[in-house]
Amino acid sequence: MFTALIRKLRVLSIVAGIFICFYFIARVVVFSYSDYSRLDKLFGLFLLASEFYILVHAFGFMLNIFTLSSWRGKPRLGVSTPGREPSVAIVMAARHEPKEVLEGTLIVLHNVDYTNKSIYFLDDSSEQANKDMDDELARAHGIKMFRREQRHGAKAGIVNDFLLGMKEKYIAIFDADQNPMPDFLKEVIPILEGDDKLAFVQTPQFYSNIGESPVAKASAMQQAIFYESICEGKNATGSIFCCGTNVVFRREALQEVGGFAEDFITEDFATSVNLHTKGWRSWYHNHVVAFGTGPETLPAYFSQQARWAGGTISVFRKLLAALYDNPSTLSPGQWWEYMLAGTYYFVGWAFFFLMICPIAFLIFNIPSFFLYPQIYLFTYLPYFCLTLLVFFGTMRERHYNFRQIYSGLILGSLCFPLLMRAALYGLFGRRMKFVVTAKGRSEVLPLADLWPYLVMIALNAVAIGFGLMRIRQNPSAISVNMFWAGYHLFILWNIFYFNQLPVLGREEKAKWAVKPAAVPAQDRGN
Amino acid sequence: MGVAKKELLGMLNSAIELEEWAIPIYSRHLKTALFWSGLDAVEREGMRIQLSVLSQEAHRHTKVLSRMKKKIEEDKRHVF
Repeated sequence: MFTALIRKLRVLSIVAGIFICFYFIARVVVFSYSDYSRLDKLFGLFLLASEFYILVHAFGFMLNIFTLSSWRGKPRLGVSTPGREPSVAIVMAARHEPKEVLEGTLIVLHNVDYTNKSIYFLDDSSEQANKDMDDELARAHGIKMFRREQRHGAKAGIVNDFLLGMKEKYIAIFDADQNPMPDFLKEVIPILEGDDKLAFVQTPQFYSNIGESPVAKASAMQQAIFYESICEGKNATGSIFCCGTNVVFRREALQEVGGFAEDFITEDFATSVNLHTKGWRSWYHNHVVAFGTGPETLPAYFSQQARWAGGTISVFRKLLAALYDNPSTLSPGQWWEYMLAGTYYFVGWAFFFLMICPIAFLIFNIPSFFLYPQIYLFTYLPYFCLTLLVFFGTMRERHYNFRQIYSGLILGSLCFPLLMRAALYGLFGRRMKFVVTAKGRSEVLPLADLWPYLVMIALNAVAIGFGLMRIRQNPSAISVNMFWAGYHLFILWNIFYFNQLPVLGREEKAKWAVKPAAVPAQDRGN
Repeated sequence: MGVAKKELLGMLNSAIELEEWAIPIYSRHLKTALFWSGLDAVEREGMRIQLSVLSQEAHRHTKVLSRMKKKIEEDKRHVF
C-alpha cells in the first residue's frame, strides 16, 4: 500500500507541476493582452507577482515530492574500531536560560552513548547570577565550562571562539532546549566517517511540548512539513543546509570557511552556503534523534519567525551576489533549492496582496484577476486541487491529519505583517527585532499590537458587505471574490485562537506531562 | 577485581541521575512522538502504559540505588 501511495504521489506531483506551468502561462498571456486601466493593471501585477511566487514555491515542493518518492539515496557508513572512535565535542550554547531547561539538557548530553566524547557548556551569559548558576550546574554534572572574553556574533561568535582551541574531530551542536537521545552520535558519526568531504549531518528538530498551547502544536506541525518533506527533497540535490541545532560538523570543514558566519542572524544558513560553495557536502539524516521545545506563545513564535525571516533574506542578498559573480560555485539543483529557501519569507507580501485584491475589487471595483472563466476552470482548478492533493497526501503518508496540517498553515499565514517588515529589513541589510509593547505580560500580544489583523478583518468584513449589495451586477466574479474575502477573514480570526496563554487544556496537558520520579531525601542517601 | 569507593559512588550517582531525571525526560518526548506516530488508539494506549511502567520502574530503581549509595557511604571500606 505504501509503495502504491508513493507511486501515486510521484505521478500526481508530475501532473501538478505541469498544471502549475499551464496556469502561469495562461495568466501571463491574458494579463499581457488584457485591456484594463493602469490602476487595474497595477493591482493585476501585484496579484500576478504573488501568484508567481506561490506557483514557484508550489513547483519546488512538487519537485521535492517527486525527488523523494523516486530517490532513495543512502549514505556511505564508516566503521570505527571499538575503543578508537573519532573524538566528538558536544557543545550546548546558552545565554540566560532557565535552570530546569539547562539541567535537563546537561543530563541527556551526559547520557549520550559514545565513548570518545567531551561535553562543553558554552556559556554566553552576562548576568553574574546566571554565570554562578551555570557554573554550579556544570560542576554538578561534570561538564566543562567555556566562556569568552569579549562578546561578538551571538551563538556563532562563541562557537567560533570555542573552535579556536578545539581538538576534537567533530563538533555536535545543541541549543539549550534540545535533548538528544542516547544513540544520537552512534547514528550520525558513521555517516560523517563514511565521506571525508561531508561537512555536516543535520537531523530533524522535533517539538515535544505540543500539549502546552495551540501555538506549540501548530509550530510543531510546521516543523514536520519542513523536516519531513522539504529537507528530504533538498538532501537529494545536496543542498540541505544547517538548521542551527541537532547537527554535527566536521571541524576541518568549519575551519576552512573561517567558522560560522557571524554577520548573519541565521549563521547556520549562511555557513551552509559557504561550505557548499567550497565544495563540501552535507547530509540530512531523516530520523528523529533529538527532541526539543518549540515556542508556546505568539510573542515567542513571532520573535523566532522575525529572526529567521530577516536572517534568511539577508543571506538571500548574498546568494544573488554570488550567483552573479560566480554561478559555477553551486550546482543548478543547489542554486534552485537555495533560492527557494532564501525567498521563502517573502510569503508575507504574497499573502498580503492576495488579501488586498478581492477587497479592492469588492469595495472599489478594481479588477485584478484577468482570466476567462473557461481557462480558469481548465488551468486553475486542476493546479489548485492537484497541489493540495499532493501536499496533503504527502503529509497523510506521514500520519498527519488535515486539521493538524491546516493549523500549521494558518499560524504561518498569520505571520504576514511581521514577515513583510522582516523582508524589508532583510533586503536593506538591517536587523529587525520583534518587541512586545506591553510590559509584564509578554505571554500574549496586547490588542494594540494586533492592529494589522483588526484592520484586515474590518476591511474583509466591509468588502463582503459591499459584495452582498453588488452581487447582482456580476454574480460570478463577485461571488468568487466574496469567497476569498471570507476565507481570509477566517484565517485572520484565528489570531484570537492562537493568542492565548500557554495552556491548551489541563486534561490534555496532564496526559503528556511526565513528572520526574519524586524520591524522598532519605532514600537518596543525602 | 575491586573498585574504589569514590569511583563506585560516581557510578551510582550517574545511574541515579539517569533513572531519576533522564528517563522521565525521554518518556515525555516519546509520549509526544506517539501522538504523531499514526498508530491506532489501542496501540498508542498500550505504548503509553509501557512508558508509564518504565517511569515507575525508574522510580523504584532510584530508591534501590539511593539505598545502596547510602550503604556504601556509611561503609568503612575504601575498596569494594
